[in-house]
Formats: sequence, C-alpha cells, structure tokens
Amino acid sequence: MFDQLLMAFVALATIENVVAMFLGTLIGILIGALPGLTTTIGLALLIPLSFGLSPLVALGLMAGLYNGSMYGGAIPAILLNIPGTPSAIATTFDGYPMARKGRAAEALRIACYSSAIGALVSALALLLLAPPLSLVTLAFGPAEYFWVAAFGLVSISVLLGSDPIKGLISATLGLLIASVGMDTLTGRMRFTFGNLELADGVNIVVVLIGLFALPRVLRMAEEAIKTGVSRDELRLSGSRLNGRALVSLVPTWLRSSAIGIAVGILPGAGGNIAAFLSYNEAKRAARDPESFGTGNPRGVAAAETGNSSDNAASLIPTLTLGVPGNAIAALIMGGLLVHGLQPGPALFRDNGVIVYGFMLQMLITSVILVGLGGLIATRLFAQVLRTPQVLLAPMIVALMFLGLFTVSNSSFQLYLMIGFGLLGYTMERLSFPLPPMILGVILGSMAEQNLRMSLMISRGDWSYLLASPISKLIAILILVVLFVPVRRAFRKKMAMEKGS
Amino acid sequence: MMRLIRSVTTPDVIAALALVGLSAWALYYVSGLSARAAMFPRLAAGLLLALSVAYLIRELFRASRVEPQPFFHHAPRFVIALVLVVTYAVAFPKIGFLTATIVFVPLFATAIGMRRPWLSAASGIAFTAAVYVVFVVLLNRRLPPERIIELWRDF
Amino acid sequence: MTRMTGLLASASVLLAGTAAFAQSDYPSRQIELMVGFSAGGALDLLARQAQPFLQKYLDGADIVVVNVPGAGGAVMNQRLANATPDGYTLGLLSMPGVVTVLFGTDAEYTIDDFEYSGTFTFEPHSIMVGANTPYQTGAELLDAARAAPGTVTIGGAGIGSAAHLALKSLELAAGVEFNFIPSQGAAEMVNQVLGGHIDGGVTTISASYTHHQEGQARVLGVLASQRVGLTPDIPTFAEYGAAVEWGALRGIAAPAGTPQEIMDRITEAVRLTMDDPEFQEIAARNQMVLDFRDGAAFRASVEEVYLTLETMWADDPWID
Repeated sequence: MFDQLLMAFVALATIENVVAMFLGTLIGILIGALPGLTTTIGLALLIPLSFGLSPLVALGLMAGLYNGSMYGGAIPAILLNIPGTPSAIATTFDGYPMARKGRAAEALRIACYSSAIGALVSALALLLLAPPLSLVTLAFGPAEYFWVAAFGLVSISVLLGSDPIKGLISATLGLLIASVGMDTLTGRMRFTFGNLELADGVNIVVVLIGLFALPRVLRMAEEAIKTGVSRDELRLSGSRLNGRALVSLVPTWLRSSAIGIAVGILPGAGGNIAAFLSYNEAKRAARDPESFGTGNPRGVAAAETGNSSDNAASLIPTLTLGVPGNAIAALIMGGLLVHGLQPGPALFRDNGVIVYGFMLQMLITSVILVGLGGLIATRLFAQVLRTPQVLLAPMIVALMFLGLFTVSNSSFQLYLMIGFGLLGYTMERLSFPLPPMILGVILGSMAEQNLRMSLMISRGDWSYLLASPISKLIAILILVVLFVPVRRAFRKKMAMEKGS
Repeated sequence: MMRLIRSVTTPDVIAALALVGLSAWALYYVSGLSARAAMFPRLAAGLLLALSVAYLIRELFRASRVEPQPFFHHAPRFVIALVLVVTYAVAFPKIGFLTATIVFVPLFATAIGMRRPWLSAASGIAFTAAVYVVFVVLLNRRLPPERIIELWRDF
Repeated sequence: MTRMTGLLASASVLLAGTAAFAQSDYPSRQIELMVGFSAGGALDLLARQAQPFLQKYLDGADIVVVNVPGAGGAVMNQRLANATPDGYTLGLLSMPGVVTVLFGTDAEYTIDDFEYSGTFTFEPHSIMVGANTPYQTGAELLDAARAAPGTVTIGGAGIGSAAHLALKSLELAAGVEFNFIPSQGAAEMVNQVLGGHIDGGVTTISASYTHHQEGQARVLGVLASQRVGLTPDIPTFAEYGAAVEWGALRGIAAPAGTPQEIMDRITEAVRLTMDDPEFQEIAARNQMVLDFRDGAAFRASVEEVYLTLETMWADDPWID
C-alpha cells in the first residue's frame, strides 16, 4: 500500500494536477456559496467535462469541488441565512446570529477551519481505514437503516424551537412531502396527480432552495434596501479569533469528525444528516445548551465539521465495494466510470495509483481549503454582500433557477420550487421552524422504505427489526436520547422545588 | 359579530384551518391506496390532523387576546416581486436564459424601488456575462436557446 | 368532421412539405439527444461516449446531450413522444424501461409514438447471490425456490421496474416463487446482497459481473438464450430449463412522424459508430455488451416485450 501511496504522490506532483486541485477547490467554494448551486449540481456539471481530461486531473477537480463546496455552503448560510447547500442548514443556526452580532468574519473563519479539519480527518480515515470500514457498511441492512432514520427523526426534537406544536407540524408536513411519488414497494403513485415529474418524489434541492432562498428574496424585495451591507459590518480582518478560542473548539471538532465519518460510511445518509447530528450532539454535550442558536461558535464548528467529515468517508463504500451511498458518491463513481475505472477491490489492485491519488487529493484539497477559503475566497464572496440587496435578490433568483434547470431541464421543477418558496415564506411569517421539515423530508422516506423492506424480508415478523446487535444498540441510543432531556427537566424541577 | 370574526381570523387561525383541511384531504386521498402503500402517509396525515386541531384550538383562544400581526412587510412589493419571479420562470426556458436575465435583473430592481437605472442595467449585463462565461465557456453547458438570435437569423 | 379531417390532411401535407425541405440539408442545426437519467448514470455515460462518434458520422453535426431525468426515464420518453418530428430531437431509449412504465403508472405515451433507429447495447439481466449463500448454480436456486415458495429473497429496483419484471418472467418460466424485495435502485440491492441481508438480486450483467469477478457475490445466470460474449463463464437460465430473454436494449428513437430518410441517416450513423474500433474499445472498458439492431428490429423487440407484458398484466397485475 505504501509504495502505491508514494507513487500516487509522485503522480500528483505535476503542474496540471496541482492546478486542478486549486481550481476544483475554488470552483467548489463558488458553487457552494451560490444559493441554488449544490455539490450534486456542480459534480453533474463536471462529469461531461471530465471526458477530455486525464483521470487524475478530473478526479482532482472533483475532490476539490466536493471539499470546497462543503465550506462554500457556509458562506451564504452565515452572511445571508440562506444555506448554500443542503448540508449547510445547521450552519445557519448559530452562524447567522453570529453575523448579526458583527462576528461574521469570526464565524466564516471558524467555518473554514472546521470544514478543513473535518475533511482532513475524513480523508485520513479513507486512506488508512477504508477496507475495515467498508465492512461496517455491509453490516447495515434495512433493519439497521430503519433505526438510523428513527434516530434522526428523534433528534428533530432538539430542533423544535420555542413552539413545539409548530415544530412538530413542520416535521409531519415534511413526512407527508416525503411520501409524494412512486412507492417503490408497491409501484403505486402517491400524491402525484398524474404528473410523471412527481414520480420520483420531490427533489430535496427543490424543497431546500425553495424553502430557504426564495422567502429571503421576497423579504429583500419587501424591504427594498437599496444599499449593500456597509464596509464596517463586513470587516473580515481583526476578528477576535485567537489561539485559545481555537483550542476550545478541539473537543467539538473531534466529536463532530467522528459523527461525520460514521454517517458517511452508511449509504443513504449524507452531509446534511451528519451536520444535524453533530450539531445536536454538540448542543447536548455543552454546559450551556441554551446559548446554541444565539451565536455560539461551537454550533458553527460542529455543523461545518460534521458536513465535511462526511465527504471522504462517504466514498469508502463507493471505492471499496463499488456501491455508491448517495447522489454525490454516485456522481464521483460516474466520474471514475467515464475513464473506464470500475470501483471495487479491483480498482485498488489494478489502478492503485489512481485510487490512492484520489484519496490524497481529498486530503490535499482539504488543506488547500484553509488557504483559499481563509484568505481569498471569503474576502471575495463577502463582497457579494456589498451589492445593493435590490440587485442581489434577482441575481439569487436567476442562479436558483439556472442551477435547477441545468440538471432537470424541466419548467415544472421551477414552478414546484416557487411553490415551496411560498410555503417557506408563509411558515417563516408564522414562526414555523423550517429545519424539522427538511429532516422530515430526508428521513421520512428512509424510515418508511427500510421498515417495510425489513418486514418484507422477514415476511411480517416484527422481531426482525431488533434481531442484530447493531439494531439493538441504535434502539437503546434512541431511548437514551429521549430519556436525557426528561431527566434533565425532572432534575431542574426537583432543584427548583428544593429551592422554594 | 363582525368584530368577533375579524378578531379570530388571524394568519395563525387561517393557517391552522388550512392545515386541518390539508390533513383531512390527505387522509381521504390515502383511503384510495392499498393498505401497504397507505400506511405511512396515513400515519403522517393523522398526526398532522391531530396537531393542527390542537394548533387551531390554541390560536382561537389566543386570537381574542392578542393583537394580530400583519402578514406582509410590504404587500405591494411582495406581489410585484412574486409576479416578476413567476414570469421569469415561465419566460427563460422559452425565450432563452441570457435574454431573460439581462431584462429581469434591472426590471426587478427598478420595480421594487431602485432609482439608478444605469447601475441596474450595468449590473444586469455584468451578471449575465458572468453566468455566460461560467456556464457556457467554462462548464460547456447548454443554456435554453436564445429565441432572439434565431429570430434574427431567420430574418 | 369532414372539415376537420380536411384541415388535418392539409396540415399534414404542409408538415410533409417542410419535412421534405428540412431533410435535404439535414443536419443543419443543433441536434438534441435526450437521456432520461441524470448525469453519471449508465445511460448518460453511453450517450456521452457515443456522442462524438455520432457527430463524426453525421457530417460533423452538432449533437448535445440533454439530461431529462425522472420516473425511470418516462419523463424523457413522454417529452420525446410530444416533440417536433424533424430529426432535431432524439432520445436514447432504454427498453424494457420504455414499456414497463406503461403499466399501472401515469405515463401517457404509447410505443407507437416513436420512430426507432439503431441500438447500441443489449445487456441481459442476471441473477446474483451472496457469496455466503448455499446456492452454487442456477438450478440449486430454482430448486430452493420451488421447494419453499416465497422464502428465497431476491432484491432489485422497485415494483414494475425492468429488474422486477425480469424476475417475474423467470418465475413464470421456471414455475417458482421468490420473495422479491424492491429497493431504491441497483446500488442499494447490491449492498444488501453483499452484506447478506437478502439472498440475491437481479440486475443487468454489466452491473453484477464485477462483483462476481471479485468473489463478493456469484452470478448464477443470465436471462438470455445464449451466453454473453463478455462473460462466457456465466450460464444462461435457458440451460437450467427456464427459457427467458430479458435485458436492457438501448438505442436511439425519434418522435413518430420523423421522415424515414432522416431515420435512415441516424441508423447509419449508429451502425458506423458501432463498427468504429475506437468506440468498441471504450465500450469494452466499460463492460458494455454491444449489440447493433436496426430500426425495424428495435421496434420489433419493443412490440414483443409490450405484448408479453400485456399478457402478464392481464393475468396478474403487479401494481394494484
């Protein structure tokens, strides 16, 4: 392995490969930062291009784009409260409050470092532990996935906000949206009204961009602010981030990296789930959980480390087994197939230089991210905010629509996005929290499919759900998660009663 | 009587009624599906119905006590922005992305109160050019064809 | 009524006139080749790999691949059926996908809405089982399913998909019953087979064969009348007494009414592409099973599958 690693390293040391990694990272930050363009869309745009490139150059662009976009998504999340990618939703929770308190520069810098660290740890896991971790992937079947989805759904409770009824309504609406489309287990269409374009369900990009970006645009139009953000508010230098503040983030970084990698190796889950879970765990572990959501740097660090440490880890099943776990991994597998490289154990044997080269690219681009994100890109993109909002709003609309249209070539998807925009606007005006809905959409179908698939495999025997040790473990974790807040509330009550 | 009606028709009450209607309709809809296909959506719709009834009751009691908040910040500008966004979504696949965008950006800005026409127009052109460079030149993507160029060629 | 037909007749004369005018200098502008799946998928790769060759053999025409994903390709099929039949909107059809969605779903086109051109690949479906399952041959698998109906779990893309109907045809031909586990797609199924959560799965031979070579799973047989050239070690189920021909036939189609001359030119371009050694080499690297059939043969296969499914549906509809 190490000689192959060395050879891969040498192969990467050409000017075009280095340029590809820098360019890929920069494009990634750009794509992530533009609301409407996501990692998936960016990679889909790259695939046709990569036909004409040598494999390592094409993969370098992809690795850079993947890592870069995970950080890029944090930029509008912090500055505008619009997550640039689905994975950056959790970054808005504390990032935007920080920006409103004039700590935008600090939040961006934390997001950048956290993304880079997450991506770096994840790439190391990919390089060193890929074969053993791929066995973990295989151990997860429908029953185990059902429990993973249930765990995610239970963690919605942390995101409910101040009004639990509205939070729960938001989540159940998400579950209902998740059931739109063809039910693959019976072949029946549900809530499609004879429209084939709803057969695959509602695309998560449509829901996300509709819910988060369009209401913000309409709000900008209503406020009609003719100036941009002033230079003072956007001062990026002189942030109060010092060594001690960074050291205090280390536990969050470690915890979130572990969560991100764990989520990453499970097919079906993605950066968004990793970010939510690591945010929840950071909040749960904190001594001051109530400060989360009001601009706690650890919230930003947890979300950004979580979504980036999912990156390289999610490629473990793809590269080792040839089984892509999510849309992004499937696109990267497509990028390998373009060059006639079939992922799987044979790839390591026959094309070791390329596989290890790609793993190293995931590692190197995470380091590049610190330089590019910290120095150039952040300054550059923050300037976007100095554009008068009345001009920025139509540009965001144009990018939202263009991004969706280049991958779907469908007007219907644009109208659907506007529909979700109006829903998001209404929910925002009536103080319904949006994140529970997104989680409902993502996890609802995962829970349903896997539950019913398990019951089909066991021919109706419910005990199959708890047959494996992994299932039991996750089910116990769910009980713990449900029990802890109850106990905390109980203790508080006891203490209060004692006090009075 | 009129005052009573007005006092309970807060945005929250209307939303709650809409949610009750939606979940009731969804429950009716899934009754036409087979039991296995209906299980999960029925669960979601049932939960939603229970929650929205609770929401409705709470808001009805609260409505008489709380002064209703206006729903829009600025209704006219909201309507203008929405109409323009919808028009743009309908138009650009038909007349071409670049043509539509170069008009849409300054039009939107001006319609909601931008008073510097040259700056708006220049921004529209610069933005469209940037999109063209990134998507067409760098990424080699096909954008919806520009009707105006075809018309010009036919002419 | 007569006026209506008269109008229609004159309109069709007019259309024929413009078509005749158009085909003399075909292709004179950009040709859209639609693909019913997202970028990076098997069909998208095929389209993008064939595109430069088609351009070359259509006198340097400008061909652009357009992804119209959704409903297993049906969104694209429907759009193709409704497109202007002038030879500038083409689609890369995947059979039996183009036929299967006509049963029990919302698809509104028919198989007569297309003109068929040349095909690129025919990839038979195959049955794979996990490396730790007791089944060493197709015969053993069929025997087990026959002995205890509905206990052997076989996964594959959802109900009504090509994979599901492939298994259904095998069940009918062999007189056995499996427990079909519908998954979100072939990748999820492979994961479940490799992890031992289900016994086996059904997917095209190019998707299953790599796992067979790696020893992660065993491909027991293909649903074809003869062994596939690229995988000579894999028997056919016909050898086990279950004669089923089922696979993914991928070729170019155009909206019905596209002038025959244009269709012939496209078919010729596909044939020349298939004869091109450079294209053959690319296909071999991607384990594509090349199979050129002309428009008439493509149409015949589509009609045959349609009739088979019609009978199967009438007998036992798989979507209620």
